[in-house]
Amino acid sequence: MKEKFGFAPNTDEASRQAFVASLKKFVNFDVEAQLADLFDNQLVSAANSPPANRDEAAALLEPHPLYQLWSSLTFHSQNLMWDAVQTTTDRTIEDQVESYRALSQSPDCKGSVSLSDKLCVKAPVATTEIHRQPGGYWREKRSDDIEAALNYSGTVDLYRNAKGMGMGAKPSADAIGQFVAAIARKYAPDLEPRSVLDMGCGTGEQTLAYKRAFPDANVTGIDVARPFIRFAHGLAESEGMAIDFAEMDAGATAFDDESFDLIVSIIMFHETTKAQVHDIMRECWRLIRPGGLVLHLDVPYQPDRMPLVKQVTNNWQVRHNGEPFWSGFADLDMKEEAIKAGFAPDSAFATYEGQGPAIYHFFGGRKPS
Amino acid sequence: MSGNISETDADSEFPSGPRPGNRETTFFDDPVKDHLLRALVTVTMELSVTRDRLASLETLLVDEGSISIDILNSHMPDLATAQAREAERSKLIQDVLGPLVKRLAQAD
Ligand SMILES: C[S@@+](CC[C@H](N)C(=O)[O-])C[C@H]1O[C@@H](n2cnc3c(N)ncnc32)[C@H](O)[C@@H]1O
Repeated sequence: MKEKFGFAPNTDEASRQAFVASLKKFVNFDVEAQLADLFDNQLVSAANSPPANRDEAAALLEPHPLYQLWSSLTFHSQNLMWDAVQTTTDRTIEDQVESYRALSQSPDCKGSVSLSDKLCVKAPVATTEIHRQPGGYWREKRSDDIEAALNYSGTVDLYRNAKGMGMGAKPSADAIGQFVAAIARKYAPDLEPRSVLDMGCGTGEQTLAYKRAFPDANVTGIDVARPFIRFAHGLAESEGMAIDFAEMDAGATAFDDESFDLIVSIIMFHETTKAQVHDIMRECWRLIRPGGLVLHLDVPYQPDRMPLVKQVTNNWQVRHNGEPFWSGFADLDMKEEAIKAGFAPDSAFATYEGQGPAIYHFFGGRKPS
Repeated sequence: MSGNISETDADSEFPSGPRPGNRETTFFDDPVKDHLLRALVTVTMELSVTRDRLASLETLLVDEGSISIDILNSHMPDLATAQAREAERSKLIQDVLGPLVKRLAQAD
C-alpha cells in the first residue's frame, strides 16, 4: 500500500479547495445576507402587493442583478469545487484503487462487501448528477472503481468549512454519525442495539460512528452506488473496523423481517422521490424489531421554518444544482409518512435537533415491544 | 451497470434541472458578465493558491535553510497557520467581490 486510504490533496490542491470553501462561505453568508436585506427592505416594499408564496418572491428576486450575481457565483463555485477535487483524484486514483484491492483482499478483513448485479438504481440517483457531481454517484470507469466516492469524500470537509463549521479544532470525520447515535440514546435510552442498519451510507465515514458507539452490535451499511459501497468497505478495513457493506436499495432490501434494533440514515431521503420515501419507510417498519428505533436525519428546510427569500434560494438548488427532490422532500410531513408506513401516531416523530450551529430534521418511530 | 438503470420510474418526473455535464448556465442579462465574473474568481483563486505556496516556501526555507520539492508539495499548515491563511483568503474574496455585492445591493 503506497498511500493512506482516502482523499489526500497536496499543498496546492488543498489550498485551492480551501479557497472554494471560503468562496462558498462568502456567497452563502455575506451575499445571502445582502440579498435578504435587499428583499425585505427594498423589493417587498416596492412591490404592488407583498409576495404571498415562494413563486411570487422568486418573481421579485430573479430580475435583480444581486440575485443574478448570487446565482452566477453559486453555480461557478460548484464547478470550481468539482474541478478542485477531481485534480486530487486524478493524481491519486490508481494508487487508491490498489489500496482498496489490498484492503479488501487482505486475510485480516474484519467486515465484508457484497455487490449485486441485480440492483436497479432508480431516479434521481440514476438520472441526475446529484449536486452536479460529474458522472453522478454510481458510474464506474475501471474495475474496482472508487472514483466517485473519492471525489465525494473530498467535498465533505470543503462543505463543512463553507458552512463555517470547520477551521476551528477540527470536528472528527464521523461527527454527524456520533450525533445520530447520541440522539438514538436520547430517544430510546433503554435500547442497547445488537444490530444497526445505516441506509444510504455513502462513503461510510458516518457508519463507522455506529460501530464506535455500539461496539458489540453488528453494523451494516447499504447504498445504491457501487463505488461508494466499495470505498466504505475500504475505509472501515483501513480503520480495522468490522462492518458489513452491501449494494442495496433502501426501499427493497434483502434482509429478513425484524432484522435490526436501530435503523438510521443521514441526508439520504432528500435524494430520493416521493414514491421511494413511501417504500423506504415501509421497509423500515418491516425490518425493525419490536422495541427498536428508526431514526433518520435530513435537511431542516421545511417551508414553515424558512423566510421566503431562503425558500427561493433553496428552490434554486432544484433548478440549477442537481437536487431534484430538495423542495419536494421539504414539503413532506415525515411524521405522517412514518404513520402511513405502520408506526403508531404516539411513537412516530418528526423533530429538530441542533449540533453546534447546525440544525437537523429527525424523523422515524419505535415499534412497540 | 448501465443495463440496470431504471429511467421509467413512475416518480422520475422531476422539475427540470441541469443537464448532466452542463457547466455553462448563465444568469445575467448578458452572459459576458457571468463569464467575466467567473474569470475574476478564478484569477483570485490562483492568487490565493500562490500566496499559500509562497508562505509555505518561506516557512520551510526559514526553518530548514533548503527544501525538497516533495516536502513543499506535501507541506500542510498547522491549525494556527491554517486559520491565519483562511482569514487572508476571506479578506481577499471580500476585497475582490465585496464592492460589487455592496453596489448591487444599493437602491439605484
Ligand atoms: C448525500 S449522500 C449521504 C451519504 C452518507 N449518509 C453520509 O452522510 O456521508 C446520500 C446517499 O444516499 C444514497 N441513496 C439514495 N437513494 C438511495 C436508496 N434508495 N437506497 C440506498 N441508498 C440511496 C446515495 O447513493 C448517496 O450515497
